[in-house]
Amino acid sequence: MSAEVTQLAAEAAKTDVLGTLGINWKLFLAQLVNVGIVIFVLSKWVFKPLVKLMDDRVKKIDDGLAHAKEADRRLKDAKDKESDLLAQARKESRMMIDEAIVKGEKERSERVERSKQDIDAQVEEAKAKIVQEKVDALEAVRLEVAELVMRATHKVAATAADDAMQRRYVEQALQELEQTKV
Amino acid sequence: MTVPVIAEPVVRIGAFTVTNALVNSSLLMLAIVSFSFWFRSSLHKIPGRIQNLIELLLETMLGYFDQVTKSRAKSKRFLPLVGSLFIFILLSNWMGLLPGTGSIGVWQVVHGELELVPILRPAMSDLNLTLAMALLSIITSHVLGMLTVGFFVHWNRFIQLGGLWKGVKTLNPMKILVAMIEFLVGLLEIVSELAKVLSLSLRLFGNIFAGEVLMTVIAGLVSFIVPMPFMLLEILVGIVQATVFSMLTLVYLSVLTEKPHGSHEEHPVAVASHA
Repeated sequence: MSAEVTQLAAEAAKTDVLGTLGINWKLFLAQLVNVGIVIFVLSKWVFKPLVKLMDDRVKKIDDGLAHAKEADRRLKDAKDKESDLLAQARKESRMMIDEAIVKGEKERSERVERSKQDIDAQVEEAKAKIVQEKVDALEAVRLEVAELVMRATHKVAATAADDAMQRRYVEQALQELEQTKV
Repeated sequence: MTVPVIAEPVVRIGAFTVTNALVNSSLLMLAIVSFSFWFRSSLHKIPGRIQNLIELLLETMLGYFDQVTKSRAKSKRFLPLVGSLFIFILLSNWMGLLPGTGSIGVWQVVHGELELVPILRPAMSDLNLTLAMALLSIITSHVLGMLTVGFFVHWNRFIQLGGLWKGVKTLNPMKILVAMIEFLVGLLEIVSELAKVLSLSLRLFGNIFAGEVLMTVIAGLVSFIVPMPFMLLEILVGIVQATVFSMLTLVYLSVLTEKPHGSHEEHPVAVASHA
């Protein structure tokens, strides 16, 4: 059979140029189908999915880089804002502290002044009380002394002086005592 | 042992004769289909080793394509055809170097003599295949050209009736002469399109067939060690020929999908004659 086919091919080669070069339309179509299948399959199953996958990956990387850049920018903004806020808060706290110090100082001064006034009033009151007590004590002492003097005089003069004399002595003593008090 | 120019018949299926080159191209086609099917199902966002390798190959190819097309979008558009042709030609050329190709066969009586007819023969050493690929490339370039720049603009490159009519209308002898020259140049372009098919197919066929003859002769003289440098040479020839075929196809595709120079402006010579 093979020899027969070879013979046919040789006959075809004798007839035309294409036959001489081995061009046979059936073989040509068969080879074209093979190439067509290869192109279709590689295109459909390898190139297109792979190119799409690689494009998606590139897009994802680009998006990721853009997002990272945006995140960096936002972080920087947030840090700037944070430092601004901190500075503002520090300034405000310093102002509040200063204000509180001034207020405290004022309050302290007022309280000290008020305490001083209270103490002075109490001291004055105590002094007055002491004076009063002294006066009362002196009066009591004077009365006691007068009583004692009168008793002593009475005992001493009971025998030597009369009532008129006793009264004179008593009055004299009282006068002297009065003078002593003043 | 001789290597005939025509691929040898191996088996006959009904009225169809299967040649050894067709066996090779069919085996390669089946291998590519199997690999592609497996590859499609094992495609992942995080690539494995093989996917990494294919991605590297693809990126490299697109890089070379960009140098010709000057546009990544165009490179991606032409990738399915040009990339497939490159891979098919390259693997087919290298497959021809595998042990068994050209040496394992069946004994048949040819021209009255008992000869060993190889079951496998480098697919590209069959002019049917190279011619089919060349025709496919050129026809695709024309179809894409028509789809991209428009039917009339595309065919005006070859049959410049519009330019001729414009020249005649001006009644300026210089312009008429220029238009006629351009018309004739357009007709020559048609011949060059046929030459493209012939040059693409015969270059690839010739190189691979010559390589096969060389390998057969060297292996016939000394079977061991000596053929090794020639095999290395054939590996390089395989790469070079696959590159040449695919890059030329890419150039044809790029040229025919670009708007022709001066398609919307007056011809510089005509402008000069006005001045």
